[in-house]
Amino acid sequence: MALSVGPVGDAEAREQFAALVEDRLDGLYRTALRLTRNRAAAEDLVQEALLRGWRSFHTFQAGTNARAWLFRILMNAYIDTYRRRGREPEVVDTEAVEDHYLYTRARESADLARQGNPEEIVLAQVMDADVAAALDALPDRFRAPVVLADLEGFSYKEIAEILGIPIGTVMSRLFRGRRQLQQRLWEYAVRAGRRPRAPRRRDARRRSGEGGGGQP
Amino acid sequence: MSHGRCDEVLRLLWQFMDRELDRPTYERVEEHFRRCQPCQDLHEFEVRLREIIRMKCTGEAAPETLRRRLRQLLADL
Repeated sequence: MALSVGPVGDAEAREQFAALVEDRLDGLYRTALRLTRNRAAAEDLVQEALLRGWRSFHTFQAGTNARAWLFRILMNAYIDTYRRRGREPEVVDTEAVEDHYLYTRARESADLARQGNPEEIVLAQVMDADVAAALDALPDRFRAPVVLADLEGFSYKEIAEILGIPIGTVMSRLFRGRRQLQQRLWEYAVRAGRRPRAPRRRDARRRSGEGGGGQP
Repeated sequence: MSHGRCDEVLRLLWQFMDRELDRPTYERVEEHFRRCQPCQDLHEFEVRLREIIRMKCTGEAAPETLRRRLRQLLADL
């Protein structure tokens, strides 16, 4: 039985809330950035989520999953602000994108085989790619589970709670999101391969804007 | 058939990487990777790919402006 925060002094509750948020602020901001694709909007969204979090903090059960609780509030704030509750119909997965798309394409590519080790070349090209932009291009319902699972490390069960959907739906959207992301990364790799000189790792001059959703 | 077939293992790969399989299934897949190099190669590729994706998309920390807004918000409560 979890202890409720209960009737504590306002100052004490404020301190507890601040401590709860502090360690998770980076993750909340990163996720907001991937959802809104814009730094200013991401800050506003986090602030809105924190206000809502504070307002419902008295309902939060100490000892329960604080991180999932905060992310659920963030997600609801996002949906309320950006989607106006227009229920998206569940899209049937008719696209024939197989699992492990990138690896399969890499292994099948005669071009890459000529250049060396196909897997290494593709991974180097992904290193060079604007992965955040590829992720940002996914539709909301696929992007959110990919962000929560692959960037923030939440379990299927936690994602189900955060998004308010059944675990089976989490899995189908997550897997479809991963397949679409791999497809986009492959398209990037193909384009990169067509450039006159195949790109080498350019770690020394990584773009400073990476990870940012903000367009100029 | 103690360590599973390739098609089954490939179907379960993401759940394996997500640590979402029950223990017997997880161990069966793990055992399969030890015995099957092609499946192990794919597994390694997917692990490295995910690591690159995570690294490239999580570099940004909450900006100081947001931390300031949070402190202000807490002070105003």
